[in-house]
Amino acid sequence: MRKPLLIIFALVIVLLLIFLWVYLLFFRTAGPAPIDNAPFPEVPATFPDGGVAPDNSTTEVTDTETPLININDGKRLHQLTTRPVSGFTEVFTTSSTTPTVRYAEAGTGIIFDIDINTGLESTVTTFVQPQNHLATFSPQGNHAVLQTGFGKNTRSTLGLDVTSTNTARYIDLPTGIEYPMFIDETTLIFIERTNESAVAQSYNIDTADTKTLFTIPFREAVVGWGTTLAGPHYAYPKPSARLEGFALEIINGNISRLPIDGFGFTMEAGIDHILYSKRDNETYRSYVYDKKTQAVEGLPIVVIPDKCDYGFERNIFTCGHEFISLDERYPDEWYTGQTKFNDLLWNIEQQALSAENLIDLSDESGRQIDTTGVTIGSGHTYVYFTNKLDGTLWSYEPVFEQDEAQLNENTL
Amino acid sequence: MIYKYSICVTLVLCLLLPVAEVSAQGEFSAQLSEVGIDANPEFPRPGQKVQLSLNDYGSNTFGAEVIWYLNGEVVPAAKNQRQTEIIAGKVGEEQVIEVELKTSVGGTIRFSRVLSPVYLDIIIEPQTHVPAFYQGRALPSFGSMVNVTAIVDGGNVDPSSLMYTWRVNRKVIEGGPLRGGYKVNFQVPQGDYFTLALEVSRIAGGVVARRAYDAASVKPQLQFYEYTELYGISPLTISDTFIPTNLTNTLQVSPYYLDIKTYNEPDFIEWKVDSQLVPTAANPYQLTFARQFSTGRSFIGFHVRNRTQLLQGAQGGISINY
Repeated sequence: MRKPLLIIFALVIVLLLIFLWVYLLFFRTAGPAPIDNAPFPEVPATFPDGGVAPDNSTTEVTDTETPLININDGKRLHQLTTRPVSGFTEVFTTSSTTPTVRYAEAGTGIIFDIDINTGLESTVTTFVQPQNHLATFSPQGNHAVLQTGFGKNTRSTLGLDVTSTNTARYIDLPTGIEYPMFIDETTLIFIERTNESAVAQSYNIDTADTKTLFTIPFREAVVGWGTTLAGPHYAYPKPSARLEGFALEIINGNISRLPIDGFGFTMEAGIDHILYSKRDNETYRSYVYDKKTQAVEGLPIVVIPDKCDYGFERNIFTCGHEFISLDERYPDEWYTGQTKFNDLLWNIEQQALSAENLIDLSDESGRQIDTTGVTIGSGHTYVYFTNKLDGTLWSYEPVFEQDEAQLNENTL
Repeated sequence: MIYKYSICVTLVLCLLLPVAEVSAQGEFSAQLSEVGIDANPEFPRPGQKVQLSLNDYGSNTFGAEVIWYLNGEVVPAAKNQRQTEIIAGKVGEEQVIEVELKTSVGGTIRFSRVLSPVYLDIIIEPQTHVPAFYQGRALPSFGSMVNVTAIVDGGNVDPSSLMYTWRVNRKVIEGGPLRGGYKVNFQVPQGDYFTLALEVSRIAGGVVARRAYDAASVKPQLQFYEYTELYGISPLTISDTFIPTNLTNTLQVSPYYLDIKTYNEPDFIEWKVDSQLVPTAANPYQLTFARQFSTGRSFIGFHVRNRTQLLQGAQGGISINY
């Protein structure tokens, strides 16, 4: 081969290599080019306002599922469910000192258990009640009332022995019952509204006997049940910032008027004290009423008592509320769903009239949490609540100052 | 001289007359003149602060020593005061308030008044729409019906033993007092407020309590919510803009405080998407639409109205961002 031809051939090779190098350096892409007009990716359906999608697998029965929560993360706040919840209760099995939380899934009414110790979740019953929005359990979690619809159209199903699908039986209760609550494992109490009144009834689930407990002489009543049939129970007109309300106490069927009232009036009762809020000129304020002395004192923070629960063991209220002042439009703005709070948890000691901040839920969780259904568990060990924004169930393990002091003393 | 003397004697006799009456009874009683002590409020609730004022402009008590008594006990702090304040007692507890005036000429005048604290509560139950999940009470709006209930002492007094005189802006309901009429209803008059007044009296006579109440009358207003087959209506409003995430989405509008009759049988109701009318569904307060896959913005409008009662209506809308 001639020498010039070899040089030309080598130059061509070199040019090709340079071209290849330049191409790889500047024009290479990681994968195949995108296809024009690709279909819009499927977006899973979400619960209103940014919550978590309902798990469609709930219709498939499984005994246990993968733990949803990491209990051993050293945190006191835990999101217990990814499903929206319509009601829950704390259940203690004989073999364990840590509770199980039994809950019903909103929208279906399917009942699940979560072991607080392990985080394991299991399906308890598979009965489906479409558009279920409320579930009430008996104290030991053996029975439940599942509700769908509202007002006169409320359809209620009494689930007996809802500890497993095999044992569970279901009975339709009269339509239109409201505020159902189990006093014990056999007695259910609820309200039935007539055109002119609200009638409190008790229903024995063993004998199906119904008794009238008392009659509130107006229809639009909210009822706060006591722990026994005799009471004290409490009732007040449904709150409105622009209408007056007042508290009634019912003991053994006798109704008496308590000296607390006001516009936007709403309350949560303890043994000796009542936490209530009402409009005060252009603000919404919270007070504590001492039933023994009849004294009324203002609280340093404002809460909507619907977001509170009373703890009998420690004689304090625990509330979820944002640390802000509220104006005269409350509680209506929260009821309509226009206001979405960013809550903290508070302990309110009525005798000291102090409010202790337990936790900033948003800071801790990184989520906006607007608490509803705040419920203090047995021994005040856990506080449970649902997030109004997505319906999920949460637990918080509070620390009490006196317990810490006792612990430090013992350690020293 | 005789003329002046007779005037002086008459005045002294006038001053002594009430004392003579008290002495004859041997104790203070409600039979004494109640003219002279004004109470504000006139019919206090138990535990309420009551402002008491001495009103004796008609008598000659200039320079008199003033002594107040509550249930026969002197109220030291109120000595020589023409006004004082007390706390009303418990339900059913009568409080006897007396004032003794010792004039500079040695005469004594006594006035008394009996307070019987009572709870008179008026519960307003407007017959207007709020969504079923709403935990509060509906509000009245012009032209809507309102049911009102009066409760005396938490319902412990038999209403059939009492007379009820209801007034709405000075108009007496049913033209006069109603025996046992503790529940009435009426149509909300025009205006932002209406005054609801009630006087409860015994059948044998004597007022038990009076109350007047300025109740708000509001305009119906719309709130939009997302509706899903699984969960029903969401409890959270769509403030301005809705971002649909499902393939098919349903909006539900709640016309708060719309008269329930108009809500149930609206004679004008329409949905518009970008100013185009869309047919109403079986539930005319719901609108179902499919998500658009191109980006964009639509405006959804809703209007409901009673054509014969034009203020019974509401109009509004929200944006949808695709």
